[in-house]
Amino acid sequence: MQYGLITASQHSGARAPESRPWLGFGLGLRTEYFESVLADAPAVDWFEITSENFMVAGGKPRHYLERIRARYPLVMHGVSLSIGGTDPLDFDYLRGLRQLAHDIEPAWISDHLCWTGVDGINSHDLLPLAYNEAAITHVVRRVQAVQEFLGREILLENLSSYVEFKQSEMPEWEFIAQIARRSGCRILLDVNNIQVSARNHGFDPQEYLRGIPGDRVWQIHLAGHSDYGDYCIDTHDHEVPADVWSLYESSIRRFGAVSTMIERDDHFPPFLELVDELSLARLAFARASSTAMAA
Amino acid sequence: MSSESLSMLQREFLSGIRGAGGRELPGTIAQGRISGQTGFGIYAHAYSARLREALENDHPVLGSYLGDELWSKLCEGYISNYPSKVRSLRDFGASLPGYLEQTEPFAAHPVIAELAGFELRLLDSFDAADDARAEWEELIGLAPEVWPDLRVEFHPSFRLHPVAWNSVEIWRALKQGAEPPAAGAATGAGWALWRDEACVTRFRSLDGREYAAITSLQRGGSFGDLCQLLLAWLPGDEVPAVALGYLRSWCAERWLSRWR
Repeated sequence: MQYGLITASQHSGARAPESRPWLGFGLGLRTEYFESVLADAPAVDWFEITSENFMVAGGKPRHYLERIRARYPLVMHGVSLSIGGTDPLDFDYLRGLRQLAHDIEPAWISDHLCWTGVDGINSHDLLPLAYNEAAITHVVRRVQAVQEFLGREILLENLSSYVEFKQSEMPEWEFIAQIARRSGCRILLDVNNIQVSARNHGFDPQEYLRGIPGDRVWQIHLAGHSDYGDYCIDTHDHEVPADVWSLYESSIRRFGAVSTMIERDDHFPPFLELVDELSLARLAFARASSTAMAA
Repeated sequence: MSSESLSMLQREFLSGIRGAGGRELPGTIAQGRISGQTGFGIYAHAYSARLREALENDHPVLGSYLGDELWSKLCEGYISNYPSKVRSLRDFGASLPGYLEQTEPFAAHPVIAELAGFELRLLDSFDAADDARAEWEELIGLAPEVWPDLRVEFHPSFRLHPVAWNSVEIWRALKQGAEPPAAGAATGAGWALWRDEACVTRFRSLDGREYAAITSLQRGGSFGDLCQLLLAWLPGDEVPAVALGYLRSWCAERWLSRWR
């Protein structure tokens, strides 16, 4: 199945690399919304699936996925790659990922710039890396192996983080930029995660954006978080807050048209409320694009 | 920083969040705007909360049967003794029935492990592979000479839940919000679980004869073997009709995928 991707510059006035595909505005496809997606035919341009939820033999998940993919473009977003892990790459997992990609033909495949476990024990969390040359070399080597195995570029997403390591030698944005440039992978820029980490670690989120190579950014995540005063936690259980919308507009002004989606993983509102929230993303995008054009 | 140093950092980090609720701060954690202790504690809390949530998702009825205090004890014990070695949280609880069989105070009440096993089989059936469903009309049209060696294949979603206790009756009562019956001996040999063509997971009870018949065919036995088996329950002249009746009923319930 081909979705006829068009490039961002064909679709908006915002400046963007010609090679960047433009899917528009999407949502995370969660089990809770399967029926609504099919019944309401919502004005959503595309859906992102959590790859592992559909790496099952059959049953309801695959049943719904087949029906939904007949109507909407999909992208795959994983949580198990552990690209920064020091255990060997899990080729059984990669075979499953490749098979799912073969079955559903996603526009792209992404995961997180993190590690998830060590010595065979899985934390099932997205754990941070120390930002240094050794970690860059390690991750780049693994990204290249994964991309070779899958036969395509992958996207890696920046995390929300709550600790910093003494072994870090550079800011996070430089770490990500180096990995993207050296490995050839693309970036899934989670604007909410930048905001959360900026609050937790005290950096300037605008400086973060300035350090990200725009030609590598292919997707943006938006989400809500929980603010505990002294720190924030990335909970994906609230609507997108004002500071994230503001940073999103900065991102669009800087990077041009990037396919954007809202993640919601808890306290699920009625589906059409999420679709309404997506219209806020369209408005923010339009505002930022017009500002970028005027500039 | 070498690759070995990366491994050491990750080992220390994971060990820290698994043990003592994150109170032992690894030496690699820097003090920043958010204190190292606070930040590390967020990971430690998330580690146990996520695994506990996975168990809660997979065992909602077991949780309500045990009550909050015992459920917490179960989660703490299982998470501590069975660190996840699986890729998907979907499989994290796979060893739970075995843990409950061997660990007090749960082991003293075997119906608890049986109930956990039932919920796991429901999950297994839910996302098992899809496959064809055999049609009785085609099966009955086979030539008489092929019947003795006929073998059937059950749908990938089909599961047997052997019972010694009334675990399924307890599950069903709790699921319906009713008072569960007291734990007691099972009235049948087991339960069949399967996913129907509308992707709804179903189950029904089996007496000892039907349970044995299914087990025989699942192990590769032929229709002839099935008839031989049924002689332990029935006079010879009644066996063919009962054996055919089973196949017809299993086809109607959509348990069979094919024959060969």
